[in-house]
Amino acid sequence: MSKADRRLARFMQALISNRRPKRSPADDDSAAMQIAARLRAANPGGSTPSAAFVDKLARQLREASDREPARAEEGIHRRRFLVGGLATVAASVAAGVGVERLHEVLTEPASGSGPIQPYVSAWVAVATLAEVTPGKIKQFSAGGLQGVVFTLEGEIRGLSAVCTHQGCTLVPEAAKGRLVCPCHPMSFNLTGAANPGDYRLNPLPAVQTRVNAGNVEVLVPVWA
Amino acid sequence: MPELSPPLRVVGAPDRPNDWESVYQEHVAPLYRYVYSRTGNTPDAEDVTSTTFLRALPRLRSDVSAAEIRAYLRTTARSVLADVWRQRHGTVLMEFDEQRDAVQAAPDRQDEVDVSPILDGLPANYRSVLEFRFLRGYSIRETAAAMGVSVANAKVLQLRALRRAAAGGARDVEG
Repeated sequence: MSKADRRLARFMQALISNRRPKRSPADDDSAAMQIAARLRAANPGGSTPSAAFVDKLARQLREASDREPARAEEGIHRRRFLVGGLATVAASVAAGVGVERLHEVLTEPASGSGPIQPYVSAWVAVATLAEVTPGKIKQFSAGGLQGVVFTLEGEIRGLSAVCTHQGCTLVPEAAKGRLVCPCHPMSFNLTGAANPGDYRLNPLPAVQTRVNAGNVEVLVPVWA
Repeated sequence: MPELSPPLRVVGAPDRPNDWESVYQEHVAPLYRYVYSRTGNTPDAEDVTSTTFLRALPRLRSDVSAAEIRAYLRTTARSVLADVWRQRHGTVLMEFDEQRDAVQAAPDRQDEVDVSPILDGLPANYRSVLEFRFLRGYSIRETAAAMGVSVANAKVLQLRALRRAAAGGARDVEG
């Protein structure tokens, strides 16, 4: 069996054992893998969610909806940043826009600039509080994300440090409160917006932050 | 003038604008079935369903119809699924030809998983090996015994059958 054969066989076996398949490139077997998922889903009894799962998710949603009012009290700036792309979607739903258009709205670059929401994520400590006192910018690399954390308007924030132009890693200039692209004459301010320059660029996605036990943690993707 | 089409069902009364619980209860099972048909395993189906609801519910207005909510949840789920396939396997999420994909072809039964369009037209031994493995969950050894072939043969046969089933009809929808 070739390497691709063994990969596809492992993928099949994971589904048949009702396990999450491991990360592996699909290469030419993309369609075969997705057909495998369809076929496995037709096994009798598999496609009904368990009562335990339905209850657990209901609890999570209740907690999330209870947190919602608290979020409104956070900085207006941050809130506007979070809500910008979403309002478009809600408006489209209300206007009865077709599914295809909704899909476009969801995948438009503009809405891609919201905070990074990894599918499987973990909080990782990347700085001490002393490293993000006002006027400092701390770089980090965690879970495949290159980013920076800093304090702005009394709030600890995180941004991707990958230029939205061609992907060069931005260099912090704490004194000027900006992130400078080493590849082209462009920079971003600490709200994530591109400073006026030669190129019109999308803003940097925000990285979610929290403080835990004296450390600044960021939400990054994790893969088993 | 008589009403020609049934009115769209409104979820949540106007005085209860955040009645997400009824939205959730109504849509969780159909959405889960859709997601399961794209993942084929419980852990992924649960994660994608959770992410979809957590992402979509805060953005939903309560005065839209059940059909719109369903479409919106489906769209959100597709975007979550596309992320999973891209990140885990470096590939795009696919849809398949209408005739080969019952989920697309039968709007009134969108949540059932009918795989006969995938299996129909395959050589008999390919069809058998896929039925034994996927639908009955037989091990390779059990499949080999049931089909009267060697274990090594069954291993190879299942991959050939799967690739043949996938050949043709696939199209990319996620870019």
